[in-house]
Amino acid sequence: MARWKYRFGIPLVGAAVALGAASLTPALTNAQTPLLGPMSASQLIAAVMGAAPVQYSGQLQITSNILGSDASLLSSVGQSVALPEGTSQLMVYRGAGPNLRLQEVNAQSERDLYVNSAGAWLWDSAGSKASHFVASSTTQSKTLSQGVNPTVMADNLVTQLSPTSQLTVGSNVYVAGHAAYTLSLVPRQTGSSISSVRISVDAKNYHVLGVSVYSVYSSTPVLQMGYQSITFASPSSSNFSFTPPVGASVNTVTASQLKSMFQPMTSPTKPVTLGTSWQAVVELPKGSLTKVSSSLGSKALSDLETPVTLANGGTASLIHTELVNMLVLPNGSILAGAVRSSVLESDAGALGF
Amino acid sequence: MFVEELKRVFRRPRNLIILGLIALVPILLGVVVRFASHGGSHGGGPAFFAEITQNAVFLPLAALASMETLILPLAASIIAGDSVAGDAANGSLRYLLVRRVPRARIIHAKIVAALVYTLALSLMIAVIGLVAGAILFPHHQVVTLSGVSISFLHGVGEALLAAVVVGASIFSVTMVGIAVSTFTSSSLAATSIAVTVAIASEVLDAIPQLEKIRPILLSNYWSSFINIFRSPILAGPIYKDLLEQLGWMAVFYLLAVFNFSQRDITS
Repeated sequence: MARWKYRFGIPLVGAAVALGAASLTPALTNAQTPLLGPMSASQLIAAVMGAAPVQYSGQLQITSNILGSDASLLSSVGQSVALPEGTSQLMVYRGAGPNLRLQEVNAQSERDLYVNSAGAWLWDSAGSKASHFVASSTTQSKTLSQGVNPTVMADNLVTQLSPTSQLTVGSNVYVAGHAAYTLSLVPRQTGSSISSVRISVDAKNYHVLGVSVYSVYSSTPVLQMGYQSITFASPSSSNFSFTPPVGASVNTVTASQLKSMFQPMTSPTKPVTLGTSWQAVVELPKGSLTKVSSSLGSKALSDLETPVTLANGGTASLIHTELVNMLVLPNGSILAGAVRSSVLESDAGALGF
Repeated sequence: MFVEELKRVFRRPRNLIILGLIALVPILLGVVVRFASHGGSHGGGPAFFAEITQNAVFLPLAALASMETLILPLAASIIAGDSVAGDAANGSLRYLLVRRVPRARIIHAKIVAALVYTLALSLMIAVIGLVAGAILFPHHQVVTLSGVSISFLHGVGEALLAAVVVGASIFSVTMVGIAVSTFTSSSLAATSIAVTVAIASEVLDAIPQLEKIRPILLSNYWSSFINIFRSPILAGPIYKDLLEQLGWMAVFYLLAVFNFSQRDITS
């Protein structure tokens, strides 16, 4: 019988070790709390604003759980979904000056943004399409740190925010293996659907390593953007230059064309806002959701809607996500905001519904 | 012992027939795409399918991508499942043991032979695919997914590297097959179990609710070889894939070696 111990015991121990290593390694690396010098919120903000630009390359992960449990309802709709949901991977390469490369890594394709002093290229491997944005010599982007005292700016910002938000430096964490401070913003007003916003800041060079938005509806972050790995070193210059491959369709866009492309985005009539700060709600005109609903399929959106009885007895429908709530009023206009549905209903009451 | 076992694996008519049939796939794929293509429809299908007509290098890659999910694990399982069980069934295992060859050497030779065969399968797909691609399709500069042009020879090198990664990605299935093979004298049973493990892993991998267990599934990083065709090469997923294979291999290696060395050989 002792043989059985060897035949199955040793492989079982091996399996346990492998499983343990697989499950514990990622948890252990980020579970420790680094010891860092104490810092106040305004000191930390000043440090971020005054930080010298750093060169780095890293893997950025963006996760959205906005739809929460409704995500599976919409999973059949596929890639045309207008609401961001799920995880996407972005490789970021930041070089000296304007040099930047963003690489959106998809399973079988890739989209890239190459920026250097000569201009920018946008590349989409699906259909091999390239767009060239020619740099205009007159517009030079100014860096924040020039001529502005970051400490003064940070103090102003903290003063502006403090009536509505509680700004604190929370417990230190490790992000992608780097010790980081956590700046947390908690709404002082009630009714917001955001319970906190946490920003992790690298303790060495004050580079922002991650942002998480927590919702009152769940304990997992509803929006999360953070580096999975980051190396603060100058990336190879080959990352920033791009020559469109033979056979690609190339579309050249000049600076003036680019400006006119963004013109229609700024609509002439400003949407009406109700409430302030964390309770801000926009009133959108009738038909604002038609674009979204047509891309989702009309059924998908109606699956998310629940009827709500208003103060005046009318019926509105509520579209609930983990972050944003929308109330479609009987006259077709829409109230939307990162607030609880009760705030939307009282706003509707203020409008006479 | 190791050379003998390798010769045995590569000389068995059945194993050669499997190699031959698998070699036909990239050729067929190339011919079909070359002469029956009706352009226009982009997207869908396995990776690199849309690009086959553009460059010879993409034919082996499309072949690897389409065969990695079923045909390669199946072929590897057949060889692995037969490794010990086949010898037990036809009685040659007894002769080996009578010759006083240490059991550890026998099982190690069989493991090495099966792994070499697995790697040979994917390398053969790449080589045949490259030759067929070079005959059927243009061979100029290769465009990576990042839109960067690399020389044709560089592209050939990356296709071969992709074949090595794909071959290594199947090692876990091979090792499961060998481990099960030490328990039975029915090669068919061992082969079926290994194939079932591979397919079960792929099915579980496709269920969104099981996202938490995905990292430990042996098939989770099977398409990692695609990342070779980015500029620069995105090595992270490839390392994860190889680490995954090492983990599964370690467990089933222990099972194979300890079971084979302690078990009563009755047949």
